[in-house]
Parts: sequence; C-alpha cells; structure tokens
Amino acid sequence: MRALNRKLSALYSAGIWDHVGKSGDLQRFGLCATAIDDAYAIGNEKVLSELSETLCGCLFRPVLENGAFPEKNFGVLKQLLTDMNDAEINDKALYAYRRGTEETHRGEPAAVSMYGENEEIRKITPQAAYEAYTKALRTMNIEILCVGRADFSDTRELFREEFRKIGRAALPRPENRPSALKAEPITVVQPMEIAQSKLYLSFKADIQNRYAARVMCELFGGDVSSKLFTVVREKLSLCYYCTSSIHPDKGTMTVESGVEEKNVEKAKEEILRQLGEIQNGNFTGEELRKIKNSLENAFGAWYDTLNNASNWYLARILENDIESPEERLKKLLAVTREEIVEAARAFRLDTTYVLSAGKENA
Amino acid sequence: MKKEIISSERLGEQYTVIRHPSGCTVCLYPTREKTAVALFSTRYGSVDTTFKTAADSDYVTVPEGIAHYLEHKLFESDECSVFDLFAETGAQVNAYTSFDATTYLFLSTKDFAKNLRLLLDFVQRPYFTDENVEKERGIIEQEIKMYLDDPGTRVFITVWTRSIIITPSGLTSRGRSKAFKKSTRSFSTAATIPFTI
Repeated sequence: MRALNRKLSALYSAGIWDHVGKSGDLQRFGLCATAIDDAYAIGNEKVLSELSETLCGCLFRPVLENGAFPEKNFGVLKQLLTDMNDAEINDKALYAYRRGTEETHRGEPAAVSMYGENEEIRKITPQAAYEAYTKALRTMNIEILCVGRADFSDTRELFREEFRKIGRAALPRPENRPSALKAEPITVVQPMEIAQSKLYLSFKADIQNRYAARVMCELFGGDVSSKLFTVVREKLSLCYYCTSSIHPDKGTMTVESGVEEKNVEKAKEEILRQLGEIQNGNFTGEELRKIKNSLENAFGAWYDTLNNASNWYLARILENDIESPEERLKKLLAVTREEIVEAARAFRLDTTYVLSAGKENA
Repeated sequence: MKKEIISSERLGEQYTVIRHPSGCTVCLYPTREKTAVALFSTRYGSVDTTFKTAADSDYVTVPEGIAHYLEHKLFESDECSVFDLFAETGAQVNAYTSFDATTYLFLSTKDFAKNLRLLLDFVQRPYFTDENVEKERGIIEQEIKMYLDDPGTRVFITVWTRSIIITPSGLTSRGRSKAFKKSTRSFSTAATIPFTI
C-alpha cells in the first residue's frame, strides 16, 4: 500500500479506489482511477499512461502470499467490511431505504446487501477470495469507461492486451427482473431509539413507458415543484424532505420521508392522496411545464463532471439502452399529460416500512 | 471600487475579484461547464444572536437559531413561493446556514441573468407574516430532528460548540427545536441588521 500511495502521490495525487454498488438485482464492483490531465503536468509527465499501468497492476497483479491475498491485510479488510455493515445504522435515512428495499424485494437479488452479510464475510478465506477474484476477472461482465479530454487509445490497448493474456470467457450479461406486486400490501414497523421516524413506501407497476413513468415520478416527488414537496412539506409542514424516485428495470417507485412519529399515518395518507391526484389527472399544465423545466436544467449538467458522465453511461449500459442525455431529454420532454396519467395508474402500493421513533414500540 | 484579475496561463483560466466600498466582494469565475452557479452570501450565521449598529444605543438579542429560520423564511415573497419563481427557469435554488454565514445559491444551465436577478431580489426583499413563520416551524423541527439522529453531526456540533466556539448554550447552526418562540418582529430585527454581503 505504501508503494502504491507513493506512486499516486508522484502522479499529482492521483487516486485509485474501489467501487461497490447495486443497480436493482445487479451487483457492481470495480476500481476507479482519476488524475489530472497530462496538459496540466508541470514536468510534462505522461500521467494518464502511468496511471493506466498502475491501475492494471492493481487489477491483474495484486500482491499475493502463497498463492492467496496476504493474510494480515485480508483480515484488516474483512474487519473494515463488517464495520461498514455495522455502521450502516448510523445513517438513518440510508438504513431505512435499505431495509425498505429488503422488504420490497424479499427473495430477489435486489434484497441482498451490497457488502454481503457479516456472518458470510467472516467465513471468507484469503484463498477463497483470490479464487473468486480470478474467476470474476475471467467470467464477469466488465465495462471500462474512460472520461476526459485525453486520447484514451493507448489505455484501451493496454486493457485489451491484459485481458487477452488471462483469457476471458464472459458469462451472459445478467439482467434485472421486474419485481412482482405482493398479493396484499405489507407494513413493517421497526422501532428504534431515534428522534425522527423514517417512512418508506414502495409502489410497483408493469412499466410500459419508462419515459412517462420518469416524468410522472418527477411530478409526484422529484423536486421543489412536485406534489410531495409543495403539499406534504410546504403546505402541511409535515417534513423536511419527501421525495420519490423510480427504478424502471425493477418496475418500482419509492417514496422516502422523515416525519414526526405521530404524523407517520397522516404523511402516508397524504402521499397516497397525491399519487391519486396524478392518477385522476389533477395537475395543471403549469405544474407539468415546471417539472419539464427542471428536467431540462438537470440534464444540461450531465457532462459537467467526469463522475456524472461516467455514471450516466454505466447506468445506460446496465439498462441495455445506450442513449445520450440529450436523446433521453428529448423523449422526456415529449411525454404527454395522458401518458403521465396512464403511467401513474399502473402503480400499486406494495410495501410500507417505518423506522419508528415511537416510544410505545420500544 | 477595486477590481483584480487573477489568471493562469498554464490553466488557461482567470477570475475577477471586485471589492465594493460597502464591503461586498464580487467574484466572477467563468468556466467551460454548462452549469452556472451563483452564491449570495452574508456574514451572518448562527452565532450572531446579539448585535448593534453605530446608530443603536444598546445591543439587540434575537432567539437562537434565528439565522437558519430566516434562511428558510426568505423563500417567501408577497406573491408566491420563491421556489415557484425559480421553477419557471428550472433552476435549482437552495441555501445553507453555518456558524458565521448564511448563503443563498442557485444552479442553472440556462437563463443565468434571469436567475441572478431573482436571487438578488428575493434575498433582499423579506416577506414575513405570522402565518408563514408558523408554517415553517414543522419543517425546521424535522430538519433538526433529522440531524439529531446523525452521530457524525452530533459529534461535530458538540465539539465545536463546547470547546471551540464559546456560546451561552451550545448553539447549533439550525438552532434547537425547543427555542422556537419566534415572532415576525424577531425576523424583522434580524433581517434588517446590515451584515456584510
């Protein structure tokens, strides 16, 4: 690690870090690297080239000890991972979202924690981890995204050659499966000694028009012009935040809010009422115009940061629908009022999860 | 008015700093990005609860947390919510309060000049009524409670208020939920104090 840090420092404090995440049923993990563009190197060093080689070294030639990851480092990293799982509870909104997702997708890969369960983590040996890693390099779907003003052709060749050496035999690309609606909506209440209750609702639908569903979700709880912000927060003063987000590949839409325990039911009723308003077409042309203005503003920013640009295209690759932000925005702006109503009517309540601050539950 | 241009030939970038005799500093930094950001900031934060101007004979004390409450309340105008005005252009508008400053900002990818006029206008034209002050109470209480459940924030606030910033009762930048005995008069007092922009 010390040698790696020295190398990165010499590359103008370049960074290499791991990335773990989930996109519905799909588990993602990988390595990211970032550095200044060669044009800014004081000594005209080839920063990109050296960073690419360093990244390849981490990926293809990790430090080994008796044919496995070094025991001592491995133990530290296992501890780090279980600590991260244990620390999840510190962020109550994130914890509630994770638990809500678990209840919404019970029995599906989407319900599994992205870091795995502590009991399983503790059983992993350095040897088993190394074997799993080498298998992953050969068989998993791998995406390489290069973003910046540089010419990445040498980097592309470097990766092509490294992967050729190990002999790739990639498995078919996994896909998200839409989540089935529960026969009856469920409610799960988890008491905890906290100051504010967290309310999580999930809705499911067979999404036929993902563009209409996205605009509908924005109108429902996307930003400060949405129904949830203007009514649940501004008019009723029930919360500081109340937002909705949509996950088209799983056919789900979720709502998250933080509310006073005594107002949990009132907030839920109002959230459902506002969805009902959209389902009944009770929204004005002005409301829709504002939502589209907001989308136009947000989509204009996709290329402003390298992270935004790479996240955009990684998400599109996983959706199996590669289009530019401009192309998608055009489709979103073309969504009609009727399509929004139809999209909203398809959604049904599936799960209510409450991280409850109620003393009576403690 | 002093104007200074800071430039870098290597980076191919420059920014301009203008210092107005009133004490207001204007910094203009053009970039290649599509998103434009404008911040309007004043040196008035949560620790500023007692103050006086040269014209005042005595100090005025306002309730704890009023800077943050004021930050929320400036999002009202006599016609509609300020959020509505920015929704016309699609810009994202927000604000934050720290110990020693309150900052209002917007991010937009179009209509910059129009958004800037809106920003300068709403921050300098407060509109308080008993009704809209009362309406904000529930929202702010929930914001405070949200942070009460965050261990990192609690450690930060506790360390800063008890060991570094000396205040009568450990102020937080958002105030405390029990200190909400506000009146429109308190807001008017705080809003008219000429802190440096």
